[in-house]
Amino acid sequence: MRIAIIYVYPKVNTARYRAAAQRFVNSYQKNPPGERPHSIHVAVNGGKLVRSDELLFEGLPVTFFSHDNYGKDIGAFQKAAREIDCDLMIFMGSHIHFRKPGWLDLIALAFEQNGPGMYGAYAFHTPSLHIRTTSFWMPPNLLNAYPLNVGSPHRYEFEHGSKHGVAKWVINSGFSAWMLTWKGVFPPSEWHHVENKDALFLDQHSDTIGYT
Amino acid sequence: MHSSFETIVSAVWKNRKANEWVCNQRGLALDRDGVARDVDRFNAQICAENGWNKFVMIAGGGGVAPDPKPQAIIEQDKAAIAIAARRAKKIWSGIKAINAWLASKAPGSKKAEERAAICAACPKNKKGGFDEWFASPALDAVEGQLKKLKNKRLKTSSDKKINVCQVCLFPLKVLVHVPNEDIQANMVKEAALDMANVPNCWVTREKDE
Repeated sequence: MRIAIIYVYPKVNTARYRAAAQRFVNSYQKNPPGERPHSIHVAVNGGKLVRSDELLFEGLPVTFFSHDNYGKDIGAFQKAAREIDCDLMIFMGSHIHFRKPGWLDLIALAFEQNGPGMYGAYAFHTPSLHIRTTSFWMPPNLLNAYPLNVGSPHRYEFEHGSKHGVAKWVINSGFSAWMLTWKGVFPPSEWHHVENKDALFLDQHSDTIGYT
Repeated sequence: MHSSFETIVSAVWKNRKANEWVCNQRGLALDRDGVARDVDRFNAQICAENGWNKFVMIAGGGGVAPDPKPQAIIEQDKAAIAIAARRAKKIWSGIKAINAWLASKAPGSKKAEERAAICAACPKNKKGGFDEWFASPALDAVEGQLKKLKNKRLKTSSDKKINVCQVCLFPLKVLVHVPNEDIQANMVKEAALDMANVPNCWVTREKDE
């Protein structure tokens, strides 16, 4: 199975996102993904790639692509899904960091056992059914079939919207949406609060509640 | 002759790249995505001005209308996704049934030989059948199952003749060994409905026994 990881590296508010990228790289090296082959594609969002950016990601199996920041992270994800050929695409926001090795093997196994659909590390029933888009994954063709080009003002609606939320759209299209934690893989009827020790990934939201 | 959306975008993009100075003066996009958005907006504007509203997607909810994708592409994707979802449900109900049995200590079905002979003679037994969308993960899963089957030393005399059922999309070489209760527990209604129309299918017949 060909797996591509998309990581968003915004070139606005550089100090903040550079620090986030450094944490992404360090935690990736400290907590290796596992045995599954994969590639990492860094979306340079809203600016030019410079040598110091390349050095930041040195040691990881990365390639870079540029995006004009239209639709922010989701715009970059949509571009990646259109242009990068793979079986499973893992979309990661800038603030994602890893806390335990073997996370990619867990993702691949859950995907092989449960089939295509949308997956994520944190899923919620309120305010509307949604999967947090700081980390989610699906076959790129599924994202390509989502009927809207996500512009920056539409960013919130894509993730949380009651009318156009991507998780709702995936389910209404006949696929399922799953939450994956270190404890198991859960369909929407079993989504629950993710405890610190069970969280697959950490992000800016889990950071604020002290998950480590 | 009508050009496709992608052809028009390519042509406009080529034209803009050849006139970079003018584009910069007028603030026109020079990247392909930007050109695609401009072409899409232009089409949407013509449709809206002429009252062809079914070709314009107006989104609500957030109070901001996102860029529309061309209606023809939306309809095409919708049809493709419905087919893909149906096929995925079938394939993974088979994978789950087989995994459930492989994970248990239950022996293989005593009817495997008889089942395999039925499948070997069935016109729905063919090679392939996994949709391109998820061919690779499905094949990976089935490959793992075949390895486990080999460890169990289970086989039938029809193994060389059986492949994938084009109706339920189950890998038959493994499925014929799976106890019927595991198959029924995981079968989705899409597969059950389609299989009911296949004459002599042992999956349907055993369900009623």
